[in-house]
Amino acid sequence: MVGYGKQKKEGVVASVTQTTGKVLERAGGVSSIGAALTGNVPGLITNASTGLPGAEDPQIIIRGRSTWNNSDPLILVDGVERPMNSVDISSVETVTVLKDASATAVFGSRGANGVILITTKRGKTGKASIRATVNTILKSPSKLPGKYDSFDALRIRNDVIEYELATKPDGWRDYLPFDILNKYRNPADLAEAERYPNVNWEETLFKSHAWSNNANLNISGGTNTVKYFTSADFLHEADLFKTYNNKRGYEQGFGFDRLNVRSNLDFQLTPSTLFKTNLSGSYGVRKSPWGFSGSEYGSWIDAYNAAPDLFLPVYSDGSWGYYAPNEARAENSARSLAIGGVSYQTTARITTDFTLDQELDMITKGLRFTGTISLDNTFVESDRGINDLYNDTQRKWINPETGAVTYRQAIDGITGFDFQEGIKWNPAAGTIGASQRRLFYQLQLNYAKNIAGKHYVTGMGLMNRNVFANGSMIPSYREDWVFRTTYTYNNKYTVEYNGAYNGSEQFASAYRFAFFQSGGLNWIVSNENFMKSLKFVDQFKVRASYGQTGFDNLGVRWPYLEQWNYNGRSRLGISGEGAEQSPYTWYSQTVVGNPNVQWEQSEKYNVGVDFEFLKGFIKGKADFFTDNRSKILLANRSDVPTYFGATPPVANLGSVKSSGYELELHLNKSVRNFRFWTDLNMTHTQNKIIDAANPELLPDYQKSEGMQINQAYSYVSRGMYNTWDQLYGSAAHNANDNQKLPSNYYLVDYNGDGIIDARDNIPYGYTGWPANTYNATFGIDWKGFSAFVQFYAVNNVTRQVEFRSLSSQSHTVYQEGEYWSPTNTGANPMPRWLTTPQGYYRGTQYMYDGSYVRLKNAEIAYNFTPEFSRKLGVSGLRIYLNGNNLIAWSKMPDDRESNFAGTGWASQGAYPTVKRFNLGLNLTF
Amino acid sequence: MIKKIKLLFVAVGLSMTFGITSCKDFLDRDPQSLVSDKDAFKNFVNFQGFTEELYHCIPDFTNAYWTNSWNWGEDEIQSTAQTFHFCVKIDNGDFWGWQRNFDGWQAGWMDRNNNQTNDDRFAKSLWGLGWYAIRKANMGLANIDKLTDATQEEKNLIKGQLLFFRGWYHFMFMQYFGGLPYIDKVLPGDQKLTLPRLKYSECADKAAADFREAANLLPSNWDNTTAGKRTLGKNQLRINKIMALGYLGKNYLWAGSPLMNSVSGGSRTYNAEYCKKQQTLLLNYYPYVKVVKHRIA
Repeated sequence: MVGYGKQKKEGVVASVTQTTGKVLERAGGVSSIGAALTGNVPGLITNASTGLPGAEDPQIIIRGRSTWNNSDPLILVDGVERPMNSVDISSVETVTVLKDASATAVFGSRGANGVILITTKRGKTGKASIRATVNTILKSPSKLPGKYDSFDALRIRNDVIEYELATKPDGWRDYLPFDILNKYRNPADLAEAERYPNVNWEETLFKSHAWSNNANLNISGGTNTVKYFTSADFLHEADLFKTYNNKRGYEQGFGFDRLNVRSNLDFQLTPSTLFKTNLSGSYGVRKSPWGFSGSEYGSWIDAYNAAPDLFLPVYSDGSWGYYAPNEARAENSARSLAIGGVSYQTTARITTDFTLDQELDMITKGLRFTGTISLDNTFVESDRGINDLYNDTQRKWINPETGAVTYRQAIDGITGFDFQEGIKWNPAAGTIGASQRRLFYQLQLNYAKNIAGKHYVTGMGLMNRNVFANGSMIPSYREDWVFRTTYTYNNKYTVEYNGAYNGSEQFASAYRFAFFQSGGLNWIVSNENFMKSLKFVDQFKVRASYGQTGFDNLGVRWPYLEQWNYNGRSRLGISGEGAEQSPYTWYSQTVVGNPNVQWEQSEKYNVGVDFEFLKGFIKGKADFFTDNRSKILLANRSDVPTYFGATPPVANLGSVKSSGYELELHLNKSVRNFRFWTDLNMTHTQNKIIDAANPELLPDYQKSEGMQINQAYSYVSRGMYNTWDQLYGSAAHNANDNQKLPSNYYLVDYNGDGIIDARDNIPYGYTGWPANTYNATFGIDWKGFSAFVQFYAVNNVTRQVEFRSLSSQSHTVYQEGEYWSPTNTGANPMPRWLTTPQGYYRGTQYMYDGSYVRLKNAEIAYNFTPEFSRKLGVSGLRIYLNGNNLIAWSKMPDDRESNFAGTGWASQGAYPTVKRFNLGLNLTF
Repeated sequence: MIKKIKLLFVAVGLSMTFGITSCKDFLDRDPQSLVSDKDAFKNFVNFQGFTEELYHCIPDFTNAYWTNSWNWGEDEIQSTAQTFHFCVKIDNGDFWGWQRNFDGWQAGWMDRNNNQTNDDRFAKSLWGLGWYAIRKANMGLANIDKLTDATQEEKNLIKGQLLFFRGWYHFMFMQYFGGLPYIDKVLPGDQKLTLPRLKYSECADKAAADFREAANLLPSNWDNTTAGKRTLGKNQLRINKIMALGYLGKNYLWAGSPLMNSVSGGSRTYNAEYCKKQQTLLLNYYPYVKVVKHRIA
């Protein structure tokens, strides 16, 4: 299955990988197709960041990044651009990933970053077949940063105070004797436990496990006239947060419920006319605190940052904890979530496709016409629920030194009486957010003909238009004209040529339409006579493709147009404070247009080898690819001097080269009743920015040219200075140099100017996307049993995670390993309590190697024999236990692959990523 | 049945042809959604509206923040308590301190992050809006021919104001930064810009030319013009001949000073030529000052 049609598998010149819905269902109860695809498709790289119910989709790129603009692949569900989460896994028949130019060329401009085609199931002729699946999923938080308990944290603080005494003797007043430290760990009674808190925030905020459910029902069947596939899928994602009784009558927390229904019908109107309709609806409700938009971290921040000795979440008298000496030091996450109100965000989505497929054999044999029209509508309503803003609770803090109790609200501000907490929330009506609507229509002609048994010719031509609007924006338009022809000689040699004529609203009419071509060759070597003697070779193919695609997604609309504004008047009066305005209204140019702006060009090469040996025992593929992008649209023009006088317009000034390879190997062996199978694949990608219009006088290491896209930067260290003499010999910091203490890193003075400052922030490590991904799946089938394990690993990736111990004088100490001591001189530098060295003094300590190895999926299943199932009244019964993200080995303190969720700053955390265990049942009637 | 299908095919084919004919326009932005640049220059009212935004690009030098500083590089002590104003930074030798990324409180009027042409005195800065104003003045001068629906007097008023402001903003920059590139056309956005830095004297000459031409075109009192009758009695702040001549003279004075003379390649003495020009101007300037009675409010 390639873009806009099917091709014979042998004749495919393009680099295409296909996976089925069955493989996605193995992924241990995940509900996001993006997460289920990870590892199963070489060339597809994902980065997960959060486990927020309903928003767990990872970011996806195909074959690495080759532009700093939008790198998202095009996702098509049944041929129309739709988000991946509009389809549930049980309705998916196949997922095809198109990677090189010849496969993506027919999608024109939208296909430059690769294409993911999701095809839903369709009915087949036969009796109604009913398939029901029930999954019960246990999920638990994956990994959160380890912190020391109060005793250890304060003991380490004591060590730090001693370490700093020479520079900050004031620290001595914060030193705590052992007796007091012991009270934190071994309190004598409740009063002491409340006065000396020792809170494990991870256990306090999160449950150890939560139960999610997923049930779906597929009914399909058909006669010669009508074939149908209908499905209904219900998903309930549970919340990992513990609920503390807020005594206000509502239950706080997160959650996600979704109901998807689908009906795919094929009507055979005449023997040569097929009319297909796909109707699907999705109704999803996401529960969260009121006003939650994704970047509010109040509910989970304490698990990442708060010290164990600040306060208890709730005291025995019902007051919530707070830190009176400095309220900004930490908020009480249990309280923030409890009185945060509730809001439901409802997404209602309807997608419809109508396709008419007409065979035109009466005109020419092998000719077929297809016309499609699709209408999609999505409505989003947010913030319906309970608004409990500004209704505070009673909060209390107990001073550990004196035992004195401080109440946040001593008396009511208005009446002067004691503070009374009331139930004062308001129901909130929802607000309708931007609704999205899409109209897509397409006309296509296909031709396939086998001439004289040796020459197989196919041709395809199509035209489509896309109109999309979101809310009240001016609708965006797109138009594509595409053709493809292939010629296969004697089932051995195939030549393919494609062309696409794409139009975009982003460019002036002179540059609006552009023609992009691509082509490929395929040689089935194993069908040659000289290969016939090699008995072990079942199939051996060599293919190559080259193509051009255009790209125009900048995020700025109409960059070619200058935009004017008619607004504002000058105050030219001379009396009064707000002097009188002139009657002349200003005309001003708000956006400088670039009439010469044109399509980004992507040039892709791909060379691949497919092989099958030993009667299906070994199968594999190897692909080598490059993607050279030129005329990349550059919006932030740092090459234009200020005297230009306006924000410089977008211009086609960038270019990037990217390349890599993919390797795939499948082994499959059956011995008597056993079957062993293995799927191994790996992907390697790298890129380099050739041109980014960097300012001329910037030193090379600060330019983005010559580096990878989004290269990580850091201050770098080489060794440690352990004595005062060595310290005096180290390069001076640009500020607070007198706060240095022995046993710290020598920072590299990269430009040799004798001082460490922003110019010594140099490229370090890799980028946020892994350069290498590896996947290994091992499976075994025996009679009715089947089992498999899947390991997924990445490396050559850098992620910044700044969890600093004792930062801003909080008492949080992270488990960072051992600290420096005279007997352990190579370990981490000690944290700082009162001294204030420059933030960069720890060098690359927080630029973690983001590589990991995961036991990504594992499953044990048993398929009951047909005889046994019939006794139970069903025609098929399968029971399985599988899991997702079961074990992860990495150097990072938390289990997030990327920082994009939440605020984007790793130390402000995110809803934790999860492990899943899934017990499921498949029933077929 | 075959007939029905043939009919279907014809219908579809026809609809395709309709589609083809409206290809290019399909992707055009709806013209009714655009404010056209052609509107700005077609008559006096619109063009004056275009020009008047230049008045709002001037920062309030003495009242740009809660506390202010403008006497830089002399013996005044602004405050002993705080150090964020530029005049304190200059006293400490931090000559880069005027730039927006070194001005944490955004207290200076020279360069700020947030620049708007509205009424907010906290949102104005010379470096932030001056180049925008110069670009605007050049845009206006490039399109002055489009002003067809206007009298010669009105055209002179517009051109005079645009020339004055072009000279004025360059003059203000010159005072602080010395020689600059003198921008006298609208710069293109997609080419490399490598304008040379002129000497102070060259910039001063160009500014002088602009001020002189502006003075020739502008009236000494807008109330005496036909176009000015629309805003009768409220024209005191609009640019007129007096202001242009005043700045012309100031420009010559500055250019003739020993500091500016030395950075222009001369010696550290007064430049006789510029001083002579200033003198001639003064002699011709006094009559105007006498004749027109300006009320000092």
